[in-house]
Amino acid sequence: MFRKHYRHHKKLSKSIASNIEYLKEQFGNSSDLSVRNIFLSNHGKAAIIHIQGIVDEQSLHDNVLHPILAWSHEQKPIQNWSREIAQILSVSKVNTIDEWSEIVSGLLSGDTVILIEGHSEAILAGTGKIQSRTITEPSTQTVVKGPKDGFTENLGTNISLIRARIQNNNLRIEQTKVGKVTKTDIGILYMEGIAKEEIIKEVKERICKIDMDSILDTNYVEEALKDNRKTIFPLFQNSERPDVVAANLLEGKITIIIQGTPFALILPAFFIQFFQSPEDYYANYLVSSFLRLIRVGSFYVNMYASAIYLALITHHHGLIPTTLMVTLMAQREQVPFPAIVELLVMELAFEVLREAGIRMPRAIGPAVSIVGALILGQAAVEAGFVSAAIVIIVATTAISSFTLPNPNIVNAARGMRFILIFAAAFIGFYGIILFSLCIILHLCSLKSVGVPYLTPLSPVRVSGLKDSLVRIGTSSK
Amino acid sequence: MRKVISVLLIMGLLTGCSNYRDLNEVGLIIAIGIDLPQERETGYRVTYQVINPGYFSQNGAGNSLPVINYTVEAETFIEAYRMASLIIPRENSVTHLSLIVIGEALAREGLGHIFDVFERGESRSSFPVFIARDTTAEEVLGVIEPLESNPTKSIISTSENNEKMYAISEIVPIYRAISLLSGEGQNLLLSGIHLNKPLKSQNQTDNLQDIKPPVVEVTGLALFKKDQLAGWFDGKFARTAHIINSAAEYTSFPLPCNSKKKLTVTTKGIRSTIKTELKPKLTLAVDADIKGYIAELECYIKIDSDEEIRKIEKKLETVAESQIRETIKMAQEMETDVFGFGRKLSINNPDYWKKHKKEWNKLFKTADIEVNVNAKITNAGLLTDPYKLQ
Repeated sequence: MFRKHYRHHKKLSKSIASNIEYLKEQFGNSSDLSVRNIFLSNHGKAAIIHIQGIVDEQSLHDNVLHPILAWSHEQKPIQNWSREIAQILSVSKVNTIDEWSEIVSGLLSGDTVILIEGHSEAILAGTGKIQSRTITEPSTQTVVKGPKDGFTENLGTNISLIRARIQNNNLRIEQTKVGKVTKTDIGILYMEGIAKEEIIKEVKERICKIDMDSILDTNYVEEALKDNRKTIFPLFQNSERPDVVAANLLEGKITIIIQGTPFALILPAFFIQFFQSPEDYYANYLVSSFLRLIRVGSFYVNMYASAIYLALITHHHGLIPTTLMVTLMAQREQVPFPAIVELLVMELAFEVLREAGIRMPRAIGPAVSIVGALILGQAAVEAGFVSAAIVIIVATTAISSFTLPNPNIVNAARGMRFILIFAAAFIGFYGIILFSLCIILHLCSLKSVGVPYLTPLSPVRVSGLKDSLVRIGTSSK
Repeated sequence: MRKVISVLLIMGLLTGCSNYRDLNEVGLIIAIGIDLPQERETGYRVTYQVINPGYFSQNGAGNSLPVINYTVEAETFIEAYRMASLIIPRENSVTHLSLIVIGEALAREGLGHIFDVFERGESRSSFPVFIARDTTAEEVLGVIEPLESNPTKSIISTSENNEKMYAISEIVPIYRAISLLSGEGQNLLLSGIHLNKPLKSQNQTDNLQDIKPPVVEVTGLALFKKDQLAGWFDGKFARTAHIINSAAEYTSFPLPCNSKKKLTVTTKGIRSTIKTELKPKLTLAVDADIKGYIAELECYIKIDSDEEIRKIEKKLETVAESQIRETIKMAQEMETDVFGFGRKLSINNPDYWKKHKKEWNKLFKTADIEVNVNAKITNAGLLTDPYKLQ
C-alpha cells in the first residue's frame, strides 16, 4: 500500500502547474504541504513548496523567500536560472534536482523545493529543522556525581554531544537511512584505529541487511542485529548517556544512534558490562569495586533468593538451623497454600505492581504504592494467606533488582528466576544446580557481533579482568 | 523453546516423584528419649519430643506448650518411628534431632548397638547424648521450664553453660560416643541429667507459674564399662575427670586462706597429659598444668609478693593432686578406664598391650598412680591486696 507512492521514476515536466498537481497527488493533498506561488516579475511564475512543521520557518523566510523576491526585481536576462538561484540562497545545502523521488524525500526531511515555470528542474534548499526537546538529565542510569546531560530524540544533537566529548578527527560517523517506510536516519559511530575493522565491517553488513518497514527505537535495530535471537540475555548495551557512549567508543566499541530515540546502542556488549555503572569511573576505585560487587551480588540474589528459599523449606529441612526452622514453621502454620503457590502468587503480585507502577499516570502513583504495600504485604500476612518470610524474600528480590544500572539484564534475571523456582520446587537444590549449569552453558555459547559474551571471564583476558567484577587502579592509563 | 516446554511438561508429570514437603506438614522431632519398655518384654520405650509450631506463632503463645511428647513402645527404633504415626498427626522428621536421652535402667543393661540407627538415618550425627540419672528419659524430657521453655534446648544449654562455667558436664556428641564404644583403651563417659525436685503438679503450665520450679539439673558423669553403666562420678570428681582428659578449661578451686576463711582460684586453661610406665610396676601418671588467677580473697594476704603467690600455687597443686588421685582411684574401683590410659599404653607399648588387653581392667585396678600438678597463678583480678578491716 505504501510502496506505490514511493516508486518514482518520472522526471519533472516543464509546466509548473502540472508539477504542483503531481506533488499534491503524491502527498494525497496533505494539509501540511504548503505551496506558495510567487510571481517573478519578468521570469514568470514560481512556486516555493515545503512541509509545515519540519522546516525552520525563520530560515525559510530570511534565507530562501527574501533573497528570491529581492532577486526577481532585478531586471536582467537569465542564462542559467538554477545556478543563479543557488547562488543567492543563503542556506548551506542547495541542490538542483530533476527526479521526483529525490524531491519527495527532500521535502520529507524538511527541505524547501523551488519550482519555476518552464524549467524541468527544481532547487532543493536545506531548511529542515526537526522539533526536539532540550537536553535534560537522563531518566535511566542516573548517577549521583557525574555528567548530567542525556541524549534527546534528535540525531544531530546526540552526535554533537559525543563530538563535544571526543574532539578527535578519528571519530567516524557514518549515516544511512534504514526502514523502508520510515527512512530513519541511523548513525554508526566508531573510533578509527581503536575499533576493530572486522567488527565494523560486520556491523555495517548487518545494518545493510535490515529489511524492515519501520525503525522507531533502538530495539528494532537490536533485534535485527542480534547473533542469537532466542536468548533472554541482552547482547547489546543501551545507554541514554553521552559519557557512557564516549567511554565505550574510546574502548573500541561501535555505537549506533537512531533518529527518534534517546537510547544509543553500544556493541559488542559483554555480560560483565551490565553490572558497570558510569559512576564506577567517577568515584574512588575501592568504593566503586565494592559497589560493583554489591551489584553483582544483587543480580544473583534477584535470580536465586526465592528459589533457594523454596528449596530449603520444601526439600532440605535439615540445612536450616533449628531455631530458624521453628520460626519458619510457626509462620507457615496458618498458611493454606503450598509454599510454591504462595511464592508464585507473591512474585506475580509484585510483577503486577511493578508493571502498574510504570504504566499508570504519575498522579495516582501513591495510591498504587499504598495498595501494594498495605494490602498485599501487611494484610496478606495478617490474614494468614502468606507467611511473612515469603514477603521478605520477594521484597529482597525486588529491591535487589533495582541496583542494576541496565534494565535489560534485570529482565533476564527475572525470567531465569521463575524457571529456577519451578526447578527448586521440583527437585530442590539439585534442580537449581542443574538449571544453573544450563544457564552457564548458554552464556558461554552467546556471542555479541562475533565476540564471546563472557569476555573477559571466558575466554580469560587478564587485562580485562582488572576492570570486571572489581575495578583495580585508575582509568587514566 | 520446544525443548524448554517439553522439559516443563515432563517436570509437571513427575511431581509425584519429588519429595516436596511443606513445613506445616512436618512433625519436627527435636529430641528422642530411650527407656526400657514397660508394656512388653523386649524392645524400647521411645519418647519423641515434637515441636509445636503453633506455640511459636505470633498469636499462639500462652495457650499451648512449645513441645509435645509422644511415647511409643516397639521392638526396634525404626518400628517405633513408623508406629509413631499412630499418634503423631504429621509426618515425623528427624532432620533436626538435637538430643538423645537414655534412661539409666537401659544404660545399666547395656547400650549395645543403640546408636547405629542414628548414624544410618537422615539425622545429623553431631547431637549430644545424655543419661537420665535415677529416672527415665521420658520424665526428664517432660518438664517445661519458664526460662528456657523448650526442654531440649534447656538440657543442651544448661549443659553447655556448665561446661563453660564449672566443667562437671560435657557435651558428648553421638559420633564420639560411638568411637569410644567401638575403640579400645578408653571407656565412655556421659553426662547425667535429672530433675532437681519432683514435679509439683501434673499440669505442665503450673511449672511456668512457679518462681522456683523443678528444673533439669546436670548431675555427674556416668562411667561405662564396655557398653554398660558402671557408676557415677559426682560433683568434684566429674570435674576432675574432665581435668584429667583436658576437657575442662574454666573452673574454680576454693583453697584455705587462713584457719577459717578461703580464697578462690579460677582457672583459665588446664592442660593435662597422661602417661603410663611399666617398670618397675604399671604406673598411671598424670601431669597437669593449671593456669589461673585469684578471683576471691576472704582473708588478708599480701599477694603482691611472689612468695605468697608461690604458697597459693602450692596449695592449689596439693588440692588438685589429691582430687586427681581420688578420681582415678574411684575409676579403678569400678574397673573402668575412662581416661584412656589403655590407649596411651597401646601406643607406647603395643606389644605389652596386645598381650594384656584382655585383662586390662584388672591391671588398671591395681596400677600405681602418680600425679604431678604444676600450678601457675598469673594475676589477681583488678586488685592486688584486699582491703584491710580496721
